[in-house]
Amino acid sequence: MTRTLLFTVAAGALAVAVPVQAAGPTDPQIAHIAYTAGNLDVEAGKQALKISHNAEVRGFAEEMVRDHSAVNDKALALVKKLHVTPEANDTSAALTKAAAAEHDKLAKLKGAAFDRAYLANEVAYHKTVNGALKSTLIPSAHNAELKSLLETGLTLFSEHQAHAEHLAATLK
Amino acid sequence: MSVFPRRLTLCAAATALLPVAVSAPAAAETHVVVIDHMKYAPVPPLKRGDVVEFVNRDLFRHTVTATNGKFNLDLMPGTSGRLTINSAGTAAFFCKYHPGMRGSMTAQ
Repeated sequence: MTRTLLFTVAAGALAVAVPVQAAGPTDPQIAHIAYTAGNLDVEAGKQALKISHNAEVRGFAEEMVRDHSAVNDKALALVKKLHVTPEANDTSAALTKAAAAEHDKLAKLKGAAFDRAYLANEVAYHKTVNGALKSTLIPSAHNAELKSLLETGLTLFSEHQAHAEHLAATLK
Repeated sequence: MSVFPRRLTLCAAATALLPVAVSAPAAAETHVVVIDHMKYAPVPPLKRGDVVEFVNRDLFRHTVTATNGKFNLDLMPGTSGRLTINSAGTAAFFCKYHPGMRGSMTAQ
C-alpha cells in the first residue's frame, strides 16, 4: 500500500507525485530528501550570484548558500554520528529533476527578468519544501536529533520564504 | 523611554546619553544572551552600565540589529558581541538576515 507525497516544484511549473511507503519515508530517506533540497537551493543561489547584479538579490542568494550549506553540514555530521546512510528515493530524484529544469530556464534570463524569476522560484521552492517538512518529513522522522534538525530547518526556511516574498514584492 | 546601548566591539553607535540622577548605583553586570535554534534567549532586566554579551551558538550567521538603527552586531556562528547599556528604556531588535527573529531589552 502506498500513499502519495506531492511536491509541486519550481513555481508551479512541475507537479511531481511520488509514491512512498504507507508509514511515511524512513529516516535515511528523509535525510536524503532534506539534504537534496538544501543542496539544490545552494546551487540555485550560486547561479544567482553568477548572473544577478542586483545587490539585494545577491545578498539573498548569499544567505541561501550560507544557511543551506550550514544545515547540510550539520545533517552530514548527524548521519555520520548516527551511522545512517542517506537513501536515494523518488522524491529526491523528482526534486533534482525539477531543479535542473528550473536552472536551465533561469540560465536563459538576464537582468531584472532573471531576478524576478529567481525570486519567484525561491518563494515557490521554499513553500513546497516547508509544506513537505510540516506534513510529512518532520512527523515521519523517528530519530530525535534528526527531527530537531528538521524543525530548525523549517524555522529557517520559513524565514527564507518570507524574505523571498518580501524581495519579490519590492522588485515588482 | 529609550535605551541606547553602545557597542564595545566594532564601536560605531550613537551615544545619546540621557541625564539620569542616580544615587548609589548597583554594580554593573555582564549578562550572556545565547542565540540558538533561530531564537534569542530572553534578555534579563538591565540597568545602566550593564553589558549584554550576545553569543551566537546557532548554525547560522545572525545580527542583533536595533529597530531604531541605534546598534548592530553581526555575529558569525561561534562568535559573540557586546553592548553596553548607557541609558534607561526599552530597545527592540531583530536579525536582519532572519527578520522573524525578534527580541527586546529593558533597562531601568
